[in-house]
Amino acid sequence: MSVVDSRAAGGPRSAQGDGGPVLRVRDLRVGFTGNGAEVVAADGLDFEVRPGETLGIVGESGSGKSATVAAVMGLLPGTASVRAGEISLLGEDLLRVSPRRLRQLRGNDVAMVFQDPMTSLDPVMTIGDQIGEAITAHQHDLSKARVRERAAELLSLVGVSSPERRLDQYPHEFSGGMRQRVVIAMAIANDPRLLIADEPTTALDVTVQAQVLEALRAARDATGAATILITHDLGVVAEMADRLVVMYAGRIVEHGPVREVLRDPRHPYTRGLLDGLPRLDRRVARLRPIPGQPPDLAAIPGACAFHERCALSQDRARCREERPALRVTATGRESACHFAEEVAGAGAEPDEPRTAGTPGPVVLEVRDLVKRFPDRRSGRGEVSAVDGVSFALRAGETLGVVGESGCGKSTVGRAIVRLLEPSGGRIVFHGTDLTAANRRALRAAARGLQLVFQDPFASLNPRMTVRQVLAEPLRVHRLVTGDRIAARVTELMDLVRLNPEHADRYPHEFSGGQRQRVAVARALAMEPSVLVLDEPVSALDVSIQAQVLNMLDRVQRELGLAYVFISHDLSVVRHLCDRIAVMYLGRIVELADNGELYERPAHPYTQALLSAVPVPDPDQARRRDRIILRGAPPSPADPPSGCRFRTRCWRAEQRCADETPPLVPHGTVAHPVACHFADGGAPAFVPTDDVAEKGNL
Amino acid sequence: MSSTVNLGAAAVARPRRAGLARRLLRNPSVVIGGLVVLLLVAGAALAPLVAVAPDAVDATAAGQGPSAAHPFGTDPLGRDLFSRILHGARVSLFAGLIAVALSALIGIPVGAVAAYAQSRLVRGGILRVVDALQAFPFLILALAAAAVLGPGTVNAAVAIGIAFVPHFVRIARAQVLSQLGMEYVEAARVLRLPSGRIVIRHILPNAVSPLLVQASLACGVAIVTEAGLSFLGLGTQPPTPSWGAELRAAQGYLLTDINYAFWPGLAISLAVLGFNLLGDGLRDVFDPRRRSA
Repeated sequence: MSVVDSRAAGGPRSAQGDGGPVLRVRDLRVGFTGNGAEVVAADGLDFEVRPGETLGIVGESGSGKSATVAAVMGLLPGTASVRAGEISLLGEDLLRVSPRRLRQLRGNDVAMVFQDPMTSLDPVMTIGDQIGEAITAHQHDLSKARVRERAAELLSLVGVSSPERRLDQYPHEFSGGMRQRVVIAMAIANDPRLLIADEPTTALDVTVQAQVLEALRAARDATGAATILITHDLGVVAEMADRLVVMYAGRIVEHGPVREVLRDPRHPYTRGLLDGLPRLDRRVARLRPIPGQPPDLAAIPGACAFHERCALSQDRARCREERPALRVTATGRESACHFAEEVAGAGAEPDEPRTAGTPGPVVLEVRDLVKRFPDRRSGRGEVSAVDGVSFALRAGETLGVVGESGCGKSTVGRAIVRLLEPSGGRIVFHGTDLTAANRRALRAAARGLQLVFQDPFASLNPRMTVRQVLAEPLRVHRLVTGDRIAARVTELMDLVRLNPEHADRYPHEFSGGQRQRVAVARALAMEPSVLVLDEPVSALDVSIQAQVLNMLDRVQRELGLAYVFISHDLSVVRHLCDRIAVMYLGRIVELADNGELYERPAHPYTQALLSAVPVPDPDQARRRDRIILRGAPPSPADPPSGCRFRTRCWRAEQRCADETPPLVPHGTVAHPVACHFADGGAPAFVPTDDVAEKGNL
Repeated sequence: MSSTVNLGAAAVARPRRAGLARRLLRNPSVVIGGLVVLLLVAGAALAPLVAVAPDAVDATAAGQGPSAAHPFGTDPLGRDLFSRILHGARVSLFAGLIAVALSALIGIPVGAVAAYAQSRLVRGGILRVVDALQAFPFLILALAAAAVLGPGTVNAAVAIGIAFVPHFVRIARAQVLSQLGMEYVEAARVLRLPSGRIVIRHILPNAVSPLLVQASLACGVAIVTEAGLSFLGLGTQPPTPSWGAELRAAQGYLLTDINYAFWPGLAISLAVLGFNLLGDGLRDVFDPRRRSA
């Protein structure tokens, strides 16, 4: 029976007729052997998924969520194995059946979607052949024409337009989001009973993520498969899942219907995750992160693994001595906390509204910045990564620069600190035009402009201790000398809340969050007045993100720094930034104050971007009108004429192709917007078939 | 972008780095190669103590096989082969060391400049010279250099060193280039550190492992090349005992006295095997791709 047939027949088929669970995991224990020590990656897990249902599994790095699915799929690395428990698929225990039967079961009834679609596709086979292969793997008797027809059906089911033409293309001709949809099409080619998606949208931009989630939803509805969605993003589960499992340190700490868990968590860890999360829908003075770091899995004692970070525990003896079992609480939720009933509800502590600082004088002005790169792909011509970007930055202010990958936001950041030579425009820093300055003047002035990179694992020299890292710029630029260097290193470490006793450790001895603190301290050693932060928290886990954001916030207030905060994460930008520039394909399309931009976005792209962000609130997530943009941004090597967004815009008219809209205030819209139709308030969203569609979730 | 690192990746990286010595000891190539090299070094160091007179002629015991008095036997002149091989190790190791040190000292800075120089002319110029040198087979290049410099152990070593320079230039350049794209190097540039400091303090320490591997492999090749040059009469001159010169002398007796040729041949093979095993093993241990396997 085919996917499309079953849909035509009027809905999902039932698995096994009785609606029993497709997958049932009982008391699963997965262990790793590393350096002689046994590391328990998953311990005593119990869960099940029923047909047509989506189970979300959330957790941070090392929580055991990946090991759990790897165990189900039989994809554990050689150093790991299932130590105990039961994994039954359609009533058969995968750990006890013959290898032959195991292959059959997994091959026929389970499909998987991984994070990186490129590695799941064969680069030298056409998309059509690959989907065809997935179809014929278990349906041998189909004719060639019929297979092709099915493949096209599957592609259109996951929202790929003109599927017939697309079948003959190769994976490199597809964008990341399109590839992920192809992977989903292949996954459902055989009507799997169980669909496992492991961080399926983590590598994707937010508007593309919305498309892929849509495809995943369509796939689930068409097959009626039980779905397991593994993610670190609470917004994604709020939109997709029915039930939610929260994992911490290899155990399930909370389990229940997604709406209830997110609205009224019964475990202090879930509560902490939600409190530490920057929200798109409101702005608070300070995030309340979970303190500390996840425990070392090798060293989990006979205690609650969370008790050292727990706000509720207050060092009670029971938390230290007894490992809490997952139990059903009074509200019918499952929680692994001795004091689950005491977990505070939402808004127990009122959030103070954020007060804006008074901005100082302009410290940095970027005027008509242009950066072109030679086009590597074609070997001739140029790609304009940044095309005429202007803004001013005041002391003590944070300017957010948001946009999807390839919009040029990182290039702007790198050009400001002169890692890249601008092709045109001016960068005026404290009155000095850096683009016109000679080398000496540039060196002296540019010291005050510093950059913090995204990946704290790559941005620190692995062979230098923290002391060496921090002392080097001090020495080279003679910022402090002699004995005072050590004192300054201590001061810098204190400033970013690192223990100065750890100064002689190497970067690999620190966690990601701590390393990012070292990177910030290193930038601060130069006594900058402007700090460019290029996705500074994107590589960090949710609970660590909030700690680093709060630190950045405090440092800014203490030192009166100006920040340029580059990010793809609209929630983080909402929390931290005073003003926000939205970039699309090398240009700023809208520049507004925080409240203005998030509450009254005027540019269609901003509106689409905001509506695509998943919110960790199921009621809101399902109520909101969604704008799902078609396609991906065009190549910057050959940008559309006029308004660059017009190819994906539902309001585009001939005028948009002929005239480039200037970035200016329009009538009732007081802030600069580059849209011909911004006048008269936010343009109404009118869905058209070709360009965008409106989804009501 | 992902905030989820694959399970335990970060946690596992830690003990791995700390256990470099352990990883080295766990690699059989490193252990066996290291032992062979150690044996060579020990033999060379102890030669003056345990094998006093490599040139002493015992006419009564000429051309003998191994015995209690002469563990490796004697050559047709009646000299103790054990002593001569042990002293030959000194010459071989000396030649290998000089050759590698010379080529690394010239090749690594030149390679770094070829990667880092602002001027396209400098970068291109270095590479073209290296290309030209590499167009000649290694041995021909060493022969030519040795012929120009004249015979002698030091000259042979210098000749080999010169012939090796292009290899080190290439490897050093490739290493520096790959490090240049790393964010910590960009971070150093944003800190406005001087270029020389960035190369010496940041890039080279992180590029050292492949260079170490190359040095070990080069040492083996240098030893065999020195033996070759000596065999051809362009290297170490008799009566100084050297494996290559021994082989040359033994050539005339191959049909009558195989024992004479056997020992220097074995010594050369062992030395090369030792350095190659060590180099291969080091490469495996340092290679991050193999590390995860």
